[in-house]
Amino acid sequence: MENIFYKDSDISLSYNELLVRLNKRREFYEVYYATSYFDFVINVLLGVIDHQNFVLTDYIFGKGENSKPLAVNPKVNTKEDLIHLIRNSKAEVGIYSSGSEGPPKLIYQSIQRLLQSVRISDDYADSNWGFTYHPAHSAGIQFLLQVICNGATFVNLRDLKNDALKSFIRQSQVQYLSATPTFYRLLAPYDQPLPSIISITLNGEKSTQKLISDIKSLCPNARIRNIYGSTEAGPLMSSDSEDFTVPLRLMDKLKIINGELFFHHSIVSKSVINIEWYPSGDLVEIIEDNPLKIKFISRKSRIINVAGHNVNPQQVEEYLLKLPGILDVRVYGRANKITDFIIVAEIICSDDIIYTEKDIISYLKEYLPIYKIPRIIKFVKNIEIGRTGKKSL
Amino acid sequence: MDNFDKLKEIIFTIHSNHEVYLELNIIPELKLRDDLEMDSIMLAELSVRVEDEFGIDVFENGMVYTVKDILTIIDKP
Repeated sequence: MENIFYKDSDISLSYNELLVRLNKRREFYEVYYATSYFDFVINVLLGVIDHQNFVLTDYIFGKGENSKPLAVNPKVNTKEDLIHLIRNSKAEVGIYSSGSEGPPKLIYQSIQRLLQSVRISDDYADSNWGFTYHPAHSAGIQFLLQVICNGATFVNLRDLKNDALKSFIRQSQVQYLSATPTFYRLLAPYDQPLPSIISITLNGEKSTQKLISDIKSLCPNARIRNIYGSTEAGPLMSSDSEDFTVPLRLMDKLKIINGELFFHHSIVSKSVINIEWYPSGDLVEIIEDNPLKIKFISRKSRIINVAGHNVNPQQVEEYLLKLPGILDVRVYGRANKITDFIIVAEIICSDDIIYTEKDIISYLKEYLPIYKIPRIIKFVKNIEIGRTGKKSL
Repeated sequence: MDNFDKLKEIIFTIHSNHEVYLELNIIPELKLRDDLEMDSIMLAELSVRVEDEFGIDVFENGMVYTVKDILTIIDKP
């Protein structure tokens, strides 16, 4: 049987087809706006096997100008050759991180560093992995490497909704599933089990014990791993509950100051750091001292978590202030039980301008991905200033 | 305007703001995700708008699945 590389609800493509399409390409782009997910993967793989650095943007599908093309002439004969080339790549991937303050920062991670958290085993060959992440975020790239380096099958679950999603998971016999807690919350009701799943990973936002128990009842055959990491430092710790026991290798690499977790510079991407201890922006509670066990409470900074995606409100404010007639804005997060937060904006307009919520949303959709768009827009006369002199959150 | 009309208006606003045009009348039996095509962020928006209108977090005790589920919670005396 032909080894399938990619499958979604419409198409299925083998590793042979992947190699044919890869070998046909003669141009690689450092910044690329793809026409489809498969097209995106091909450009990423060209960069990886040709040791070319590349940058991932929020919008990967046709929303901007490609960088100047670079001539390439790939010759990859077998899946094994492809895996060998990936594992020896010297390329670096640039990913925009929301950071803890200021505008988004471009952070470069080497493919070698991303590969450190890829698990490779004969058990994974011919296995089916459910894909749920943003393709151009670090979790999305790590997932791609994980699947290809094991010669496994990439099952695209993005954009599928409840009944269709569960039915496709069953039909495709997904065994490994990695997603944000928001994704798992939307699998409710948990009354019809998904027995094919043998491994569950939760990533990108805080999980609760209740959610982990619900997932256990939905996926009775699965081992559950809750992962903590950041774009700046990659995946750091895993646990089967909402508490994390700090592993020995990280004991002198993590520090808690006034409840906030700090990373030692040796575990943080070199492109972001010129200080010894990097603030994670995550507030933690110490559950036990020895061995050190911690629980994540919330974010310290203005960064807002929307369904596992970090949103920097300053970036949204900057786009809003570019609109004619907008005098002042305040963008903040509003808590809810489904996605942790959604984005809300307060806007002061000059008297001669009338915008509707829909006008503002349509404008922002040209520049920002959907999770960064304010869902509720209030047109106000005053914006509250907090005690610090900053706009309050 | 009764609670059902207010809820229909909220659903219409969410769909209209995000250019989702469905050719169906909203009835209580419709499923939020499968029939009204709401993704996670739309459900989150629905929860916040309903809370602003009725002062109740309808997702407080877990997921709700249909328009009727929401009405049952907001109509509770």
